[in-house]
Amino acid sequence: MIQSRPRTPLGYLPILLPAFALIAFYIVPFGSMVGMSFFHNLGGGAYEEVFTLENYARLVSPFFLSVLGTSFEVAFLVALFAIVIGFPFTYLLVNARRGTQVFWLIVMLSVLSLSEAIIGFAWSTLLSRTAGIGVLFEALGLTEKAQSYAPSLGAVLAGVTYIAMPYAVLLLYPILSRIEPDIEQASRTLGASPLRAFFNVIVPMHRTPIVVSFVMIFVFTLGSYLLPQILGRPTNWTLSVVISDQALLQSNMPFAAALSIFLMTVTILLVLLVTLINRKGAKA
Amino acid sequence: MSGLIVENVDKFYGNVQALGDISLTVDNGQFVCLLGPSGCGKTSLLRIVAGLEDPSAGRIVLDGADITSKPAHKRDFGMVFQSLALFPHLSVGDNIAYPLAIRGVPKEKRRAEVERLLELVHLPGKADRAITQLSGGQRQRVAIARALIMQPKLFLLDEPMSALDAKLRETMQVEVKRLQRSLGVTSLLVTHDQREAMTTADLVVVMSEGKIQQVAPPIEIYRNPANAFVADFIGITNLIQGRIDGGRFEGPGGALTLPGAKPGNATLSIRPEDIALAPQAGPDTLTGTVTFVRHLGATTEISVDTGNADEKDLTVSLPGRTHCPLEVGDTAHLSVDPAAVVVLG
Amino acid sequence: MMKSSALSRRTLLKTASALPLALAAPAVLRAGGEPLKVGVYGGYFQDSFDSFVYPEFTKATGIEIESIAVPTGEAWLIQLQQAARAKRAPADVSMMATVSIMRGMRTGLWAPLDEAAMPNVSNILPTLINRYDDGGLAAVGAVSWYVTVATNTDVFPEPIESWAELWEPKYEDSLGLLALVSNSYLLEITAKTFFGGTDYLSSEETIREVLAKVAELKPNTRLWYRDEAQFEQALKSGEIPIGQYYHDVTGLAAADGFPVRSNFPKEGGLRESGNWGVARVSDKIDEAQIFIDYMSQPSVQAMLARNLGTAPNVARESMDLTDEEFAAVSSDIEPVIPRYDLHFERTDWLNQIWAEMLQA
Repeated sequence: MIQSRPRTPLGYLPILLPAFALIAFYIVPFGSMVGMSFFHNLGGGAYEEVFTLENYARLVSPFFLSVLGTSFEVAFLVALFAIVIGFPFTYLLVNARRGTQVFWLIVMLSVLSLSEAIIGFAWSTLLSRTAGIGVLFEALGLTEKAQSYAPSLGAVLAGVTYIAMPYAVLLLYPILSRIEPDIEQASRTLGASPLRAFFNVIVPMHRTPIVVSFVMIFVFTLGSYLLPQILGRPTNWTLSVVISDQALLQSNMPFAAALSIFLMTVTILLVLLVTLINRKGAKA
Repeated sequence: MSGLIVENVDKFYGNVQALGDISLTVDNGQFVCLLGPSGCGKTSLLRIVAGLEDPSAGRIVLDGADITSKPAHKRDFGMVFQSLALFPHLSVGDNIAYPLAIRGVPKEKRRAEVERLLELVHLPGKADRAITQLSGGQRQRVAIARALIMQPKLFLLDEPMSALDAKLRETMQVEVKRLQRSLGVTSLLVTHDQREAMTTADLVVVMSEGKIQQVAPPIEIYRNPANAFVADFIGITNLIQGRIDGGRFEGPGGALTLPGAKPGNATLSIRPEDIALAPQAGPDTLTGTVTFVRHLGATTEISVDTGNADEKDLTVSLPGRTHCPLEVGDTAHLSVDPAAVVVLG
Repeated sequence: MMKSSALSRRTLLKTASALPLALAAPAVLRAGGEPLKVGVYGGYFQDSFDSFVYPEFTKATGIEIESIAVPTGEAWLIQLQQAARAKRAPADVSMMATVSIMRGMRTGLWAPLDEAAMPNVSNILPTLINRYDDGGLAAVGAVSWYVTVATNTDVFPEPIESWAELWEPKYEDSLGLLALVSNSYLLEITAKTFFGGTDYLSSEETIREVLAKVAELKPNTRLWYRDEAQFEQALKSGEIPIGQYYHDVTGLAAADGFPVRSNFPKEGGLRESGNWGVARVSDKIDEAQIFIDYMSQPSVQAMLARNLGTAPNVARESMDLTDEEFAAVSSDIEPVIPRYDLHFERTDWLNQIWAEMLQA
């Protein structure tokens, strides 16, 4: 492709604004965070602008590795649930009547508009012993006495999956709506029941979109810090909870920055790995 | 009772009737074409036979067994879709072997069957190719092979060649017909292309507006159309409205002797090649003014205005080498072989 | 770059310490006619001060007040420090947590106050006075509040008499406790209850020993909460029937008919305080001192107890509170006072061992 360069400096004007926005809103804050992670914390939000590795030295510990493990566990399971529920749901949705589709898409968008705190409280009430499904299960005779299901890992997963679900659906919807109905019908005429056709053809056909959506939800979920606090026990608190505690309650900005960069670096490495594996798998 | 029987099938989409009281018998080994313009209900009928849609009323019977409520995946039919519907994530071989894999056929056997089918559709050794590496015609063959690998009781084709270019389409039509004949598989093909129907079918079912208009072998359909729709839809014809009285037809441009024809109002269907030029007006000629002359090489087509209804000029088709003395504006006298005239009610 | 940064900090300190001399010049009341800017925590505190305190103060002294909402946590301290560098004061007087006062003292953020100008400050309990190393007055206790054991009486009708009961197996998976070392003060409560007092928290070993005792609460704890509303709602419904919570808020809920009770353990309730600090860069030090003096009067402290539910910072005898009014906000039992010095000096370490204990 041959393109002529602008002949005058003025010709570069149209790209200046986006370039400026990119630098101002992404690169500068990120750079200042990287810088911050090497500063010395003085407490109370104050820090000394000297170069130190102490923040990174502190985070290399079994404790933070295990918290990172918790983060990955929660994010992995949430991404898994969101895809396992979201993919069939979206598939049914794209094959549904127009009105039904619009209804569910509006529901999904409304969920996005809810604040995380509201969702957290709603789930903690729903899973409570005194006002939630605990009472229902007792009334139905499923449990002898009403029980509470929050806080727990399950509650965290339920709450975060609830938030992640609209993203899963909105990511998969445009892709699944391009499937020709013939594909599914063809596999039926060839001897596959609708269920087998779904698992044998529809799912493997969409391997790459599924992997991409999984990774996006995984990364998105890693940042969740409010719901693990509201719905989880301390062992379910993720690295993002620790980061928000450090930043908002301990006012230790340098350490919060170091933790964030640590989380980000490990995440990027993981995403690269998954992308690589998927590419290999697709070729095989 | 062997073969496929469609019995009094109705199909409604909401309040819209797509099929009305369709009954049809297809003998084993027969190749039947459902032919009609788009929206005539032919595809709905095929999908009902395939089990992809339920009829609103009526039955589908195969070899004496009622299969109306049998789900598509239990009918053991092979179907080729208009879009081909090949699975993009599977290789050529895995696409063709899909019905076998579903039924748990061991890998070696599948491999052998795939090779056999690839030979049959003239794609030997292409099993490991990706679908995206194939041309349109090759994909067509893969779709056919996939539909045939199970040796289906019924081979269904839904306008499978409409995406191919004209030349390739004709080749494929011949190939499909040969394949069907050699395998002896009972086949049902949906098309709006009469050439395709004429090429492949043992029996043509002409459909219009959800109803069957005529069921007959191709040449019958051409020679003896059951009604004006069939006559007009199949090939080119001249429809002339007039009155029959005492073995004489009187219409625009003149009269014709039609011995034994039923008296009353009638429409005649006369194929262009069944009309000849007469040197002068006679008792059995139609007369009109030449409005257009087309020298097409193989034939010469002359349009003659005889004052026919709807301002439809008669078309006369002469063999290409016949001398045509007429020019636009000349008066033409046309003679017709009474044996070639079809009287429509 | 490192050097210049350190230098500028030192220069700043010098400049800052030179300021009081300039301000010791003859006092000019209500300089420029601008109001005194007073910051208290936004929400309940600010609303209450706006309706009960400021109008009375203006009536009594003629000094107008501009009410500033202050965020909890240390965000306000950061803002004050940044503003101080620019020699601006977003508020003349601020109500601050004790640890924040200490952090501000380290950088000389607070103006040394003149006790002679504030005779009523002598009423304030000595534990609520913060002084610079040279004895200069840096901050004065503003309001206090108690954290006690709150119970849902439908679930647990008997009163709680000791913090030690929280460790009893019958409360398995029933407690709601504050999530952080720096807001639950469970180290102090545990030290007072089991180790003879908060002085026991003197070395790493003894702190770890106390922490191990706190860790024994984990099986009993359903919710380690950061958000008060979450626990309060669960307490009222009986979902989490027992835990540490604000004495006055529990009392208000009980008065509203909820089946809850605040129990003062015999080891004492946990007493936290907010403090008045005056920004050194303020040009209204005199008005600020008048304000603090006003707030330190026993009558004003009693009024705050009645209207805000805060515990008075002056001796009980000096006020006209009835027994009922006093009990609603405070107690005669010696309180558990947070080891603010520890939280100030060892923030990161305490936070780290606490998190490791909790999340292990």
